[in-house]
Amino acid sequence: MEEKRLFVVGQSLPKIDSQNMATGRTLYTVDMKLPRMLYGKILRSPYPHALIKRIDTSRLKSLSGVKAVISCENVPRIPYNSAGLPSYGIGRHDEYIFDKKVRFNGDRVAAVAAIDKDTAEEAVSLINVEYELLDAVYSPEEALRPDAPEVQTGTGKNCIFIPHSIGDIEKGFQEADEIFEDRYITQPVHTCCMEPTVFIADVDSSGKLTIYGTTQIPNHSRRILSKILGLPMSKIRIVKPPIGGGFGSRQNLHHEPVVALLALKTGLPVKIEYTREEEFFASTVRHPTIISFRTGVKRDGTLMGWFVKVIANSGAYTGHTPILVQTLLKKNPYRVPNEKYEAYCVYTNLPNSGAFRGYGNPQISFARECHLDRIANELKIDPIEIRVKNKLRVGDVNPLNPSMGWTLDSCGLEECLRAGAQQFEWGKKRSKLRDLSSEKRGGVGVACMMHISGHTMSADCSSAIIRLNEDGTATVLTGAADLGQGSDTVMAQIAAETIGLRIEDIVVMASDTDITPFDMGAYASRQTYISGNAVKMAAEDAKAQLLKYASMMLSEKEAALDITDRWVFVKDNPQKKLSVADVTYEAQYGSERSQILGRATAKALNNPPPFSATFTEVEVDTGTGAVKVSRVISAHDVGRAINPKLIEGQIEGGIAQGIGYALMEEIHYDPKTGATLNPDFFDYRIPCSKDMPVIETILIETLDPTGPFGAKGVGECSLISVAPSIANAVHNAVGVRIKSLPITPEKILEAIRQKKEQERQ
Amino acid sequence: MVRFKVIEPYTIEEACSLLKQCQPNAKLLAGGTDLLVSIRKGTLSPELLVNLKKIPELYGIKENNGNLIIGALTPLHEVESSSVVRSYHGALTEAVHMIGSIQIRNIGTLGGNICSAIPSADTPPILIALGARAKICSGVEEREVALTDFFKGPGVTVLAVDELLKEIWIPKRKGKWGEIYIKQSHRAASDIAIVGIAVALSLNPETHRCEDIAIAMGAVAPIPLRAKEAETILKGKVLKGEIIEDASLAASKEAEPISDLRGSAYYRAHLIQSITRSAITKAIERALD
Repeated sequence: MEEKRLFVVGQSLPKIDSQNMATGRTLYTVDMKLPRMLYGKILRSPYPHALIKRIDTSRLKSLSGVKAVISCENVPRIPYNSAGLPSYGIGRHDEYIFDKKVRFNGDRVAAVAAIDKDTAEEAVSLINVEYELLDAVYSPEEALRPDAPEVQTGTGKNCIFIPHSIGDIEKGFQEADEIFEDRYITQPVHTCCMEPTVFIADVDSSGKLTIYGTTQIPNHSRRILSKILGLPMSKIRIVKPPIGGGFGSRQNLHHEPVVALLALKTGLPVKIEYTREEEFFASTVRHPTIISFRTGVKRDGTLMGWFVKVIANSGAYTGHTPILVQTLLKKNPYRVPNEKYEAYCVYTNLPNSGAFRGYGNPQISFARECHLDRIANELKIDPIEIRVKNKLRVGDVNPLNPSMGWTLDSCGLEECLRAGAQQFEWGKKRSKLRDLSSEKRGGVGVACMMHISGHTMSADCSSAIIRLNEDGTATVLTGAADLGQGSDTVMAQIAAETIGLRIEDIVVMASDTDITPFDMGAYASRQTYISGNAVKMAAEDAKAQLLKYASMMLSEKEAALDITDRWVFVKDNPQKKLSVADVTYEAQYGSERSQILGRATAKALNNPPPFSATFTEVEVDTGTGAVKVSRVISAHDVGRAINPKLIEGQIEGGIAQGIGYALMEEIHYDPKTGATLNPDFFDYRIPCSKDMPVIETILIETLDPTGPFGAKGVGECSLISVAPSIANAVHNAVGVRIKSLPITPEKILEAIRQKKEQERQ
Repeated sequence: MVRFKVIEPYTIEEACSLLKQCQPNAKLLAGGTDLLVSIRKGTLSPELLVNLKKIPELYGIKENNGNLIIGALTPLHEVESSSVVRSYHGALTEAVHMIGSIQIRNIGTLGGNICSAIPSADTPPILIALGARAKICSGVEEREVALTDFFKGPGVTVLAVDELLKEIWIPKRKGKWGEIYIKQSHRAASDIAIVGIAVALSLNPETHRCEDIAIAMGAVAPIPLRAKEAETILKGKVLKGEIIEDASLAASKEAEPISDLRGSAYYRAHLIQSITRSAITKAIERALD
């Protein structure tokens, strides 16, 4: 089929919200102030594990300006799971607005609302809490021991066990020529959103509750709140204003129920904004994991089978953990005939782990890609060739959800590897021994990944409505949540392209549960693929209606007409045309008196995985152990680049986050109290501009048949294979494998020292 | 809630007398990039801040009889952009450039970087290596100490309750000197030193023997340290591989590093050796240049 020329899709158009953002006019929740608004503050546990015996708020009586105090003593104990997902049955409901037990240092104990921030802060300091201390456990391996303190009652050994297998692993090992085993450790890290987690709850005289704030999941949030507050969904409105970052940490309910209760109790708007310190322990972290691979492989590099064991530290509550470990197992870009997985979701007395860009994929990809690099090295196969040999191919069963019967319709993994390798000059760089100076060694590494275009547990879905105005412009109503990634712009481009308008003709109204149709939210790299499909279908519906009126006005068959750049024209006689504005005006004010409203619900027809390959060049200083990442090439199979510049921006951001994950980011906890030791940007380092390498992005367009204009997911992908590509480059440079993140200078020096010692023996 | 008073005196005398009256609950405020962070964190809770910004004589960069004089309130960015400073000691310019970020350097002052007496501060090692002296003033009297003797412990200096640091004096040197400060941190900018080593040395133009040397180390002990034994090993010698290696090892043994989130004592000891080696080598290159 001849491809239709595209006018708006594929263009690097500026983000539609960029002018207001650049000039400081965008109103974020953190800047919002409602009339008579109160400020709330949450009292947090100073202990990792304790029973609350008594909460004494009598001293608050002497403090003027305190309007409400809530705690387990006056709030119903209704269990919920804060993870923003549909309930799949494996997520335990073990969180409460306030419980009689605290399970990590920083857990919620009580909250107050007062006339200003200072009074609220003073008020929480005046609450006396009597605790009965319990033994605490922080390491998942210790938590699994039979004598470990029980973090969540009823879970037995602090664990949810999730097994999974395909084929016969013993057969796989028997047919293999070699068996390789490795164990990897990943650390807790934080998303470090610019805007702190903040919610404002407002309640009107009819009892209607409106919550503004930093969420990626307005619809899930409304559903969960409806249950725990006992209010019908019609009485809860969730609005996501422009938001300063999400990256997954806002795919959870945070303190929405707390501000809601305080607003309901006082009848006034209440705002609670986390401090930067609270961000680190009161929101969520990326799951720390221990991952071991035992892999059977033929001498030619063919993978015969692997046994993978994942221990994921869930923190104190279940949250996303069981879903996360179940899905991470499937995000594997290679054919492996025999697979056995064992995943352990382990409870400890640490802050909650949750979603963070990649949803388990950064952890499993670090382990798998480093492991594969080692196998390739020891079998003397080029790391690119071992990946190409084992890659998934078009027509294979889509491993993301085999039960759906979907196959892979597009797979650009080899193209990513080949195009990246060529631009990187892989062959030349890898073969050359690089002593940059007496102490500096150069090295190169590669790593791949496969991710998702929508959530993987079942078929994803989204709805959209498009309203044509009588001047030919349009309003798109979508539940897609723009977190800065640019989904509003992408939806506008898809709508404009599909109808035949310009991007400036489109207004996007998004993420307001009273106005916009259902959407799961911004996660699972799903907005372009799922919500984009809904917008495209709604636009097609609107276009069909436009053509119906135009056909009457032009006395031509609908099939003979098309729309481009605001003109409806006869395909065989383009001089015969009408402006879209004339058609919409006639529809609205002519004899029909009918507004054109396009609508659609898009149920996913597949979950086409995006693929990518990351090539990294590093310089390792053998004197100090420091690693400098000098160049990164990131090649992505995006299906179709709806807006290439936006994708490049996302890739660059992901690489920055990936470098932080690989080299410097780590939350430390006090081994005695479980307190977060570095909840600030002084001792929790994220890379700065001077740490950034030269970045080159390569976009491979494989045009997936089920994606809007062929597009697949992009958002999370670029971070995922950065850490393993750096680890592999470090090995290439200095011959040591660092199997735990972050790859600190200290670990490198120690590994070099041990290697020298072994060589001496 | 944090509450404190701020007073803005116009003269050094006034500042010192305010300081004396309100001890121990008063603190001098220069740029505030260390002090205000400590107040917010609750590690310091002074009742009075004596803001020095309105005292003109604390500012400026000048020359006097072959000395480079920098007023304590001079913002770090002014120090790093000064052509006079660069003409005297390019290594000082480089060291100041390594502090924090441009925003911090626009607000933070040279005197503040010294008087906060934070073990990892970047200017003390290079200033000590350059032979800097601190001009201290109580409003009534002035005295002078070598900067190497200025520090007593983390956050503690020789300043008496009614004294403030007025100026830093750095002598101009004769002969072929090579000077360098090398800072190791986890991040390329906006970070503090895990270890910072400054070396200043002079070589005999004919024999290339080391005539004079000062090595100062930051973030390796409660206060910035001179690596005296390392200096003794190098002095009078032609500086070559093995001697440099011995001196670097000696420097590492003279230090008393701690373990913290930025690195273990063991790692720091290794770093001191490695960075001292690089710093000496680089200083020799510069002296011969």
